Amino acid sequence: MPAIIPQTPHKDDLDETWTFLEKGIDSVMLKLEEGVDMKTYMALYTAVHNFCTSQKAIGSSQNIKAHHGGRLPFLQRHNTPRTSSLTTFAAHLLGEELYKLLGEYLSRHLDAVYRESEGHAEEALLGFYIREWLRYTTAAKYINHLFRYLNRHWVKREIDEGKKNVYDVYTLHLVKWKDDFFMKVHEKVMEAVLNLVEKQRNGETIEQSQIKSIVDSFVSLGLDESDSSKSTLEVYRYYFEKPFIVATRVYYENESRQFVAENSVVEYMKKAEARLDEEKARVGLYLHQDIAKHLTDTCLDVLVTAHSELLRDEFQVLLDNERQEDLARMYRLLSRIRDGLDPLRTKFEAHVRKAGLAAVEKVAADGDAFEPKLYVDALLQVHTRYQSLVSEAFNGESEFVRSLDNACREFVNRNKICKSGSTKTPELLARYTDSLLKKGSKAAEESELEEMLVQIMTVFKYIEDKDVFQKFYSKMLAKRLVHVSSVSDDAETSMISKLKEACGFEYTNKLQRMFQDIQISKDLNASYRDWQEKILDDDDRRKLVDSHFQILGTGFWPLNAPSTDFLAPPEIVKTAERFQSFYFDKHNGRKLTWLWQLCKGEIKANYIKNTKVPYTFQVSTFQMGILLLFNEHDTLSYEDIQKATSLAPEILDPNLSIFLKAKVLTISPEGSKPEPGASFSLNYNFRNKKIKVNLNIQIKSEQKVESDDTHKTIEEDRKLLLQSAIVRIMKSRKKMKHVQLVQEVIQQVKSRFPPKVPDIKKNIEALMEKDYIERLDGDEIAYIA
Amino acid sequence: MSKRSYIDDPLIPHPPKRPRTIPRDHVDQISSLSDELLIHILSFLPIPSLLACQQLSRRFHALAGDAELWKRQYYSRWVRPRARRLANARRTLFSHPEIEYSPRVSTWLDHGHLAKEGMSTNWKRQYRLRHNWSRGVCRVTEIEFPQSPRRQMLVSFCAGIVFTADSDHGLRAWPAEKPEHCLARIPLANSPSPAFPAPTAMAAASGPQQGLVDVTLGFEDGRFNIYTLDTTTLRLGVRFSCVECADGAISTMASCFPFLLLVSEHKVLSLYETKQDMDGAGGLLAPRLLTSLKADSILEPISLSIRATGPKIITSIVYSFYHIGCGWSLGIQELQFGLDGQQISSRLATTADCHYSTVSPGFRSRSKMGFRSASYGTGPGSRQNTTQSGPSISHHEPPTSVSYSHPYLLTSHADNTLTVYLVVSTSTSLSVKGCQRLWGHTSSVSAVQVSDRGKAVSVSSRGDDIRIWELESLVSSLGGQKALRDGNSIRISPENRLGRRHDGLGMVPEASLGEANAARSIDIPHRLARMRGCLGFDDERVLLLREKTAWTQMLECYDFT
Amino acid sequence: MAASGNLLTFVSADNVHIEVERDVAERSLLIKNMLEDLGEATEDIPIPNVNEPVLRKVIEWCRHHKNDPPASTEDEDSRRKTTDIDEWDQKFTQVDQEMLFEIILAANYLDIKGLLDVGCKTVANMIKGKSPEEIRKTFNIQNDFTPEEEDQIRRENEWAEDR
Repeated sequence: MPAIIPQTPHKDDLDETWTFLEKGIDSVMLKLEEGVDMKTYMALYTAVHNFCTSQKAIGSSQNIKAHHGGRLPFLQRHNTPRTSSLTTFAAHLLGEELYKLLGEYLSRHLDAVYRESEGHAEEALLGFYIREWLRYTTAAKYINHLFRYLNRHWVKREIDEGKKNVYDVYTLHLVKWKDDFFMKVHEKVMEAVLNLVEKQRNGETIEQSQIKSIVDSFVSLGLDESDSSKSTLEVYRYYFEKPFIVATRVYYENESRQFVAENSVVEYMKKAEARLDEEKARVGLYLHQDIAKHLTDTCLDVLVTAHSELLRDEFQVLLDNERQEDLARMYRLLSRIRDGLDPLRTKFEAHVRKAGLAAVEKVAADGDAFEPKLYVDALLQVHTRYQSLVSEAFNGESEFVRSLDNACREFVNRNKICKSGSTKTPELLARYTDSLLKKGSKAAEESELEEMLVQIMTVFKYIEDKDVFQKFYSKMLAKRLVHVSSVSDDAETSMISKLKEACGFEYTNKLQRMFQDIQISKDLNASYRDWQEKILDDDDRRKLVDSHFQILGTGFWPLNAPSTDFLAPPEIVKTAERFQSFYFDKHNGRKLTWLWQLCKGEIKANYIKNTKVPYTFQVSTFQMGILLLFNEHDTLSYEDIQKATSLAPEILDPNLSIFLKAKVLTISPEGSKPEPGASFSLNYNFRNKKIKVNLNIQIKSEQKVESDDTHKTIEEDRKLLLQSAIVRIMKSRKKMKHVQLVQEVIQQVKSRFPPKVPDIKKNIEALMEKDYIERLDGDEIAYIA
Repeated sequence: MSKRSYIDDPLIPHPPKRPRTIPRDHVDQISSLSDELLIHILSFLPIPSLLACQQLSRRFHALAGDAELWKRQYYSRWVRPRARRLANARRTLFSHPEIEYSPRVSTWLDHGHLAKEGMSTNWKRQYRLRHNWSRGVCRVTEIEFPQSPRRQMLVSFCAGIVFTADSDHGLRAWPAEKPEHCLARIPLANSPSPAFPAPTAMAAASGPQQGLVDVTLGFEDGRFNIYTLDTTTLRLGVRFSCVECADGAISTMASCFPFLLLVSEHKVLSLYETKQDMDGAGGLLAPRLLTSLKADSILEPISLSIRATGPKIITSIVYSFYHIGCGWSLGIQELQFGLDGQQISSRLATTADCHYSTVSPGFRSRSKMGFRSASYGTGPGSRQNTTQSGPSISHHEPPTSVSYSHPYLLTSHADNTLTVYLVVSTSTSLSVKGCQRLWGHTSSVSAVQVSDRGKAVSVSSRGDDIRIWELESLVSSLGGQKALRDGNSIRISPENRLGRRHDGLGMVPEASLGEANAARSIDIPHRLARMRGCLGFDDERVLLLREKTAWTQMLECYDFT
Repeated sequence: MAASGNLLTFVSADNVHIEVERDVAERSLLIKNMLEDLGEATEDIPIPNVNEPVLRKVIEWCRHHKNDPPASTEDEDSRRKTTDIDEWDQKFTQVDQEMLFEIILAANYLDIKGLLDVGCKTVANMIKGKSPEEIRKTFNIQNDFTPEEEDQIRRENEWAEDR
């Protein structure tokens, strides 16, 4: 079949060309569903092409007129302003007429569309708008292609020359739609959209895709005036987003006001959260992503910020009732508005502090006689409870963690039990630790013990007077080590490394050295035994006393030389001297001091007849010195004993009392106290249920003295710590203002204890007296080298 | 239009488009192409071929002169090299410098002024203008004025119009493109009287509305008048006359509507606001004195400038002073005002420091006429290892002129050189960055003028050597090691004055006044012409006023179009 | 005569049917857009502005260049700087002037950018380096200036002669 080529108009004739084009455009615009055949398509393109390339034209006729105007057209006449775009220095491209006619055609078409739209409202209008938009933009794509020759040359040239209001043909369609239709209907369309959305908010099911199409259309209409190849969201923002946001605000203002009036705050929070999620989902479903932030902000403003006072008022109630889930919801809501959480944190901190103080109060209710464990457990319980609240309900947010820490620090250091001073808590904590680490504690399971040590560290973290803890802890550690009463080396090491982690090397240095000394001593004893094997003769071997020695570095151990003279029994002396000669052999030039008060031993009572197995007495060295005297005599006077042992009465008397009480010795005259004039006899009829009798009982008064001593040394040590800090700072700075120095000292020392400014000043004075530093003019202090 | 015959029978092929009555070898086929195709062909041609095409026929004359075609040529000749240079300088920042041609002039760097809203630009003319500037090619027109015995005539150049003012003839306006004819004139005093004070300073600037030029004249008794020229009706009138400011002769002025900055001979600086009457009658409200400052140690030459940047008015005073140790230096005082005239800040910078820290300590041997010359790097080979303790630039005589147009600051010197400084004014500080000597003149330089786009024109004291400088590329290398070589400037060589001087061609005696010889009898001892304030230029022309003889002055207009 | 599969049928202005592969035909943006708009080609495609010999020539070019990368707008300027034409295209354009201009017109009509550029560059090369008189002779251009006008233009353009 030969193709029937639709007749193309004469290329020089504008009217003919346009009439032809208009018919074609009409069928594209209105009857596209019937299809366009290739011949028509080609004919339309060709008509545009032929018109634009025709060599006729109005434009060139003007050129000709200029040429024949008599005067030379190209004389440069600068003083006459060039207003016409048709200078002789320009090519003349054709197409302007077609462009104009097309624009007019579109205006006519859109006018008709508008008139038809007036018969629709609400959802029907949306349907109509979308239908027409779709038809129009599809047609626009066709027409843009059909007019491509115009785009390529005339339009491009106009844009290159910087003309405003000339667009490529597709963009022209959009501009016309916007100016001639959109501007007339956008309010009505938005009204319908908003009604639809309100229906959905009220729970009805709606045709979401309609709104999506409207949004897409509005977005497409955003044209960048300065560069038509780019688009902006201006139209969408102004005509869609703005009214949408306003409507949203009104809707939720009303809803929330009403809801709050009729429901509890807890219910309201659930509602608000659900609404926020819903609006967020709405953006993804059919809105433009651009609105997301704005919409969320608006909802938050109306739903949360506007009711934030109400919410916050409920916080205390929820805390009191431990409504974790509701607290979490409140946190989530308020965390999304500005400064929403600050008031909560303050309330939370006060609440935790109150809870902590109340728990301590309960412990203290029974007076001073409570187990350290009870106290520490009370502290821990409060902390644990609120820590889990912070991580569960408040998302572990750092500011809440800080509030928790503040509250804990407060009630750990300042509560009813440490009324007298903040040193009470560290002391009790150290005692509790000791009770855990000492043999015979109930927490036998190793994992359980570790768990408890971790908890101790939790409390430790909050303690301000860390030096106090250190003091007590090292005392107790020393005792555990010397008496070999630690529950396990691993537990001790674990605790020390925890402290080291928390406070640094310096803090645990001595503890570590003590621990090391014990290890070294073990090896030393082994090599001593080997050495002994080699040098002992038979006689020695017979008289040999089983012995174990511990060498403790003077600087590291919180131990003092004996407070009393003591003449050790000859058996011990011999053993001690043998060890000494071994030790000095190994380490020449060291000095050994015997800490008799810490030594102990066992002696067998072979003299008691009414038992087959002889009793063994566990005794201190002092007691040993006393009892061994009875190897030679059955009865000794007080004076004899004192002379033979050289023990001070404060030590001698209580020990004698222990023997009397245990009925190892008897006193005469009967019933009197151990004092000069009395005499003591060995009780041959001693009886006891156990074969091993422990006589090495700590004397009551010692314990009290020890605690007081510790507190005293703390004051002393703090003074030294302050002074050494001052000297250290001044040595590096050479010169410094007084105020600055004080600040710096506080900075350096506060990890150990909170120093008091008067104390620092006092120590500065002290150092001046000692000529370490001097005062210069103008409040400055200098270091004296 | 007849119906086409093939309609009825689609099998018949289309008729041929052109009748082939003429043998095809003699048919002008190319001219049958439509304009867009011919333009496309021409877009592949270099400039000489374009010019050749203009000579083919009327149609080709128009097409080969097409503005869009020349716009593209303009871009590749003048814009792209610069864009590429800037892109190279910033290579670390942008890996893909955008130097592709774009027909939107606003995307070109600093060429927005060439494409005005609603106006089509003649790009061929722009290209040629730029071309001429780059080679110093121009036509000169000269006009002779009689030298007044009392005072030198004042000249100012603004919006293509030359303004002259002297006691005898009042204020006159001349078109720069045809300076032979006076456009408009107005006497200074209502009745000519010898007692009327002589004008001592003049400033011209675009007025409140398009087409209006404000001219301010300062007088020896301290008063000033504001005149307005309407460039369409050519009416010149007094807008305001101020009498009360009796602080001595006004020596320098600058204006930028609605602000007026002036300095008196007693070194008092005043800033006025000259708001226009709101009723649109064109009347001026009395100028409002915003601030007044007194200076002690500033010396001539002084340069004043005002520029408006958004919410601020920045006025700058550049003055000379002698600095022990590094000779004559410049001080810049910058006063910032809010639009309400409230002073925001005042700050000071001097060029003294950067005299020490210039480029490389090259050899500085040539002591001509007792001047120590500045660092004179002639490439890496000549660098010596001598370390200098003194300043690398030291002027022993005050500069002969100063010109400041932010950020360029230029001074001219009697030792044949210019010195350029770059002023850095940020919201927090004012400083002078780098300085460099410019070599090219072979005699004493008496005046220099610089524009904010970095173009500068300087003139030798005899007026025979005018040079054009492009400072932008230079300044970008300031602080680097590249020193400027000789010949960076272009000497203006008017094509219509080759080999002839004083032959009268193109020189128009001031015929319209008929009193040209009035002052001839007064014998003034010959001296070097003072050129101060008598040099000006715009995008198209350079204007120069110089002494021809002891009693006549010559106004020269160098036209680059 | 409907084309099937990847074969299209062009009908030239003088009503000759020519079969073209679709990818070759789509070098023409006009054809490409049309196929995009109308879907599969089920009928013959009339090319009302181009005669058979020219159309065949154009198709020859398209076939040779069918694998060229799509012309990007960005290298527009660098492309313009050089009037270099590759060897095949040079041979291709060795035709008489009438055919050359017919090809340019067809390329312009069919929106084949590459071919249009080749054609225009060829013409530009015929102009380059020639005096006005030589150019006039090459293309038979009628000088419609008066002598005064001609002189005026010559003087006007003197500025560039020392380039």
